[in-house]
Amino acid sequence: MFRLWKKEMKRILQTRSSLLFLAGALILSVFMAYVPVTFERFSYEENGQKITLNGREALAVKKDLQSPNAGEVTPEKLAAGLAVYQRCLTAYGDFYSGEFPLNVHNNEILPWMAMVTRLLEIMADSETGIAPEYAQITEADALNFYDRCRTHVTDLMNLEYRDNPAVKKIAGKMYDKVQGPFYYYPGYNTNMTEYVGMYLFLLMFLCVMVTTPLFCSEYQTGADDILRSTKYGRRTLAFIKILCAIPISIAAFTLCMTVFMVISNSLFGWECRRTSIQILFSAATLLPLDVGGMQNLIMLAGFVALLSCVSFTLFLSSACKNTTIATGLSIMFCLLPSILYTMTGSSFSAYLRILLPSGGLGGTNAFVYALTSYFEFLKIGPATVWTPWLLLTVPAVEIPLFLWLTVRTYCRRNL
Amino acid sequence: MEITLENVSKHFKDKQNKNQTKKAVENVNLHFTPGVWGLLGANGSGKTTLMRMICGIMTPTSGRICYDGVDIRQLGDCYREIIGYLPQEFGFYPEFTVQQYLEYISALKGLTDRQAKDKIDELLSLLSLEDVRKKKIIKLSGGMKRRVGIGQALLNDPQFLVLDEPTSGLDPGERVRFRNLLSEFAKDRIVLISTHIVSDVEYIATQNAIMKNGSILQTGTTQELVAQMHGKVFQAAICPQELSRLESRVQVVNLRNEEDGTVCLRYMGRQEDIPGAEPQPPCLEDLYLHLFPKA
Repeated sequence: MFRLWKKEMKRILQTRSSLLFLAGALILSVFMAYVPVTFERFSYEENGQKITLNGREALAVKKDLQSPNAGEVTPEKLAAGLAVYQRCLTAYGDFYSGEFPLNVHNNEILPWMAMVTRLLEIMADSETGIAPEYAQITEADALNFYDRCRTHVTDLMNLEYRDNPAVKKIAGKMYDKVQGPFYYYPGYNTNMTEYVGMYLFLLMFLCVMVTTPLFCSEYQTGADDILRSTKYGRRTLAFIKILCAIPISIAAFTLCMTVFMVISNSLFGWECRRTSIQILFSAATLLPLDVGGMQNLIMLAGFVALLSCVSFTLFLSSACKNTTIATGLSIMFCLLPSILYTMTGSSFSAYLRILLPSGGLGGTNAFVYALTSYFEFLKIGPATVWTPWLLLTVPAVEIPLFLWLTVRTYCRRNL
Repeated sequence: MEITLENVSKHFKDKQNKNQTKKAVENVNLHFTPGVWGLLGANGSGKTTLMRMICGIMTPTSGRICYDGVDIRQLGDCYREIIGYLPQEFGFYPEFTVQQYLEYISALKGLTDRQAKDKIDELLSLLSLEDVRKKKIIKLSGGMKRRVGIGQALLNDPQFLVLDEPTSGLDPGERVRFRNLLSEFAKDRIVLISTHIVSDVEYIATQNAIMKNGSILQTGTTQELVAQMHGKVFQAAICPQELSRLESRVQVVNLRNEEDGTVCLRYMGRQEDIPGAEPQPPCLEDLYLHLFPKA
């Protein structure tokens, strides 16, 4: 049996299209990990001239400016940052007026920006959700930051889920575990997180393309008749094909994501992984995670979704009579959650997204957005569940189901 | 060893009229014993469907197929271990060389590495494919591809060899060699060849079954089947101008332009249809044309 597995594995990896897709996935991992750094910009004034730095150079300067505030986000730091903000605003006016001196912004505002922005967020009005002016925030508010975070989550839930006590209860329970202090290490930006999501989608797409022809190309060429008439040509061959497709996808995922993460974290700095996601995204983010934990969770969700998509594609391949139909359907099901979720935003698409294997991969439907949002709850029967948990568990449950359907469909074909 | 088909039928859904079924194979009873069996029939007569059922690729709608009295569905792997099958459309993986393909199929057939190597060497030599063993199958000629197909069917030394149109694409020399190979191979084994090239089975088949519209019309040895055509096949020399008139009266089997300007006409009908016609010993092709006049 191992001999047959080796031969099938060799055959798949010998196929030109498989090699192209897998090589493409690896090249994309390097490209996509590097691209977010190129978005970095840093401008300053020297001798009356505006000089702009780009990419890694800009990132290094920004990190250098922000590094004195790295570490624990203490109420005292927040109060100090707020004082700097208020002093600068009084002296130079609004940041966006065009009159604000660039070098003052760089030297005074930038080092505190990540932290003070969160302070502004949590001071939003409990009725309207509108953030106050910096001048309206007091030192006492800053010193009371962590208690105020909890109140802010309650306010948000009252605003968004006024008639849904279950959601408020769940969100409250979840946020109870988010205990301060938060940590901040400069460098990492949210573009990077979006690129992880985008890359996971592309990786899923490429793995699906490798998997699509596994069964249906044999139906199409007629090779299937010969295979089925051999001793191991039925159930065993179906299992062997699955045992090749899944490890290829796992290996591709492991290699490509390792390359991606090593490059991106090396560029932004490994210490950034210790930044709390409440500082990076929103103080009301419901999970007690740092960036490293969030990266791991996104990868886990991506891994489960990828395996679920590959399993579903195997099923499609076993059911379709030619590669064109199978490829078309595979692509459609890969894109469907993104299209539906972006276009309709209805509760139907929200439920469908959960059921489809690629539900957590793609555009606005991606797991990463669900993870950092506090509006992601679904009612399933009497229960209310936080969507990211569903995006993690439903595809995991679907994997054995799709694989069982694959074997069953393949074995029963033509009978 | 024997393979028995008992009232085997296969019905498909009619794509044009969904309420009706299309009878591809209808109530077939056959009893295969060792030797070469020819399955003759026009295109669409149900040969391929019958062969796919015999190989276990397709399940009969009704009836059963037994190997030594046991239903092949119960035998599963054990049955597939003793069969070799070459389908009409020989599909292969384009990325494979001849050797890689045969190694792959030998793994599927449960051969060990050693057994596979020996058998592949033997078959490549037997099928004159040694020079192309490292060549990709996609780059081979039609005849060579067919020989690779025959090779894969023989890898497991099958007790029951099923070949669907095995000689299509082979040149005359290859056909003769293939026929000899089969005759030798068929000792103590069952070889079932489906074809509409009558000469392929005429010389080597110990038994024949003729299929039409999904049913078996006749079975028997070539001599038995041909016997019914005695007194129905004639040959006459005619003027070329008469040909079109005569074609509407008799069933022409063959015609040949002679050097003296006449046409030598072999036909089925009555002797008095063409004055001067001489009786001819019939062959299987005559019977085939008699049964399938539109073929």
